[in-house]
Amino acid sequence: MRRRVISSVLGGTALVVVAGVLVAFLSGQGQAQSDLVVELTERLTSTGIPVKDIVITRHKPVQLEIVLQSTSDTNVVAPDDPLFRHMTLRECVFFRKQYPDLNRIKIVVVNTRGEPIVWSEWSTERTIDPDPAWLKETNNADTAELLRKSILLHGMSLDALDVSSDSNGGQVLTVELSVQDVFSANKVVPKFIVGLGSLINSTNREQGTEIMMYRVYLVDVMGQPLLKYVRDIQLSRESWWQADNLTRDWFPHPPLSPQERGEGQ
Amino acid sequence: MKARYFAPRIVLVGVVLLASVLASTHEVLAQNWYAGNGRDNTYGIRANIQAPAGGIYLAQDGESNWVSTAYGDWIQAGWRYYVGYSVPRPYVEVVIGGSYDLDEYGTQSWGTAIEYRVEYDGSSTWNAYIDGTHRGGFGPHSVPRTVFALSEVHNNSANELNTQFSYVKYRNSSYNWVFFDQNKWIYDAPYSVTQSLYYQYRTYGP
Repeated sequence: MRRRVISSVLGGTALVVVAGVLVAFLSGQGQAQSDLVVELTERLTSTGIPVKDIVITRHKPVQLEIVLQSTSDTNVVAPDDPLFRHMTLRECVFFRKQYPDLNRIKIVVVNTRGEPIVWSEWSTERTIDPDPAWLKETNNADTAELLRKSILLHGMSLDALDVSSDSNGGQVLTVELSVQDVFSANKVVPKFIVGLGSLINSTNREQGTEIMMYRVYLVDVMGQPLLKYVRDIQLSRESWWQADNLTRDWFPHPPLSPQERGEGQ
Repeated sequence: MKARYFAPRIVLVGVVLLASVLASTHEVLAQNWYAGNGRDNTYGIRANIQAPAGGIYLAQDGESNWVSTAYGDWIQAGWRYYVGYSVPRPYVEVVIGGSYDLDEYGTQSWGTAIEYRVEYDGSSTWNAYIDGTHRGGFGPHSVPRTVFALSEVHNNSANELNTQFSYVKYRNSSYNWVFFDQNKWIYDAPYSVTQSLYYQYRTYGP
């Protein structure tokens, strides 16, 4: 009888201990995930990304829904939104080095009425090539000077060319251009974008620069944006916004519908 | 009397001028050439797309070979090959709500085929797959949609095209995969397509 009481007490105590450990573990994990959200929010907002909300949608592995606030009040994004989406993905991919449990993100852009304009679900487990650890220090002013001399503008005006350092290593090139109007832009944008890609690749390869990302902002004489483009070499991706009537001839695209061609059905 | 002589000449000069303006406009606008087949009213598309053994000649820019939703926004998966690439690169391109994304995923060897697929998941989201691997979910993108499995040559019609599309299927409203069954052929000269089967064809040219 006594033995049975002792074993019951011991069994009960063990159960309480196990439950306690489990609760402590889970609350620790919960705390770690809350920290992840706080840290990621800080990281994104500090780079100017308009984060509206970050919600953990799954705990193991961690999946996040990141809501970005657009300035658009329609079902079409504002010119800066695609670049914000890209930077959000990039930051999350690099952030995964700190939080390997961060597995997948859904980025939702909402308009001023709170309606989703676009969403994308991506894995954060992506190849980063080259790895930041391989990048060496480079002089941004020298790189900018080098590119100012070699960039082919095809008649567009170069308003600014700047090279800065990325927080994840590497250099970031920003090129600001202007043209008379969209018709002038359509004649040169395809060859400019293709040419700039080749120039950056060869400059990195032959001149020892470490440009891992570049942005192109193109406006017309009235200052109206025609193109806001970013290419991320480390993640092998491009994101952009473009004016409706800007040419699509520099990237793959399906044929237009009979209505879009103005032919009716 | 003079007017009688001049009127036809003015008309002739006008026609010649108009023709040359149209020709030059066409030259500026017709920067892409398509070849392949399509299907209306679908909930997805998949195809095995081969990169030709031995590579292809490019005079300028490049080409892409893909499956895609179309008409309005689109979600596309395929391989592309541009000047400066040593081998084709699989990619997913998405255009929704004025936001453009293009992600490349590794390489595709010459002489091999990879399955590319985009499909509706039932909740305004479409998923893209390359060789069975999920490469993202995107929305909102409505159904049903017209889809295409095409080759697209960019900016220079001297670029060589030689792509085999096999097992080209669409997803019907019951979410079953069915072989392409419609005559929705597209082929912009100087490119062409073998048309013996709607779901198995080779695009080629110039």
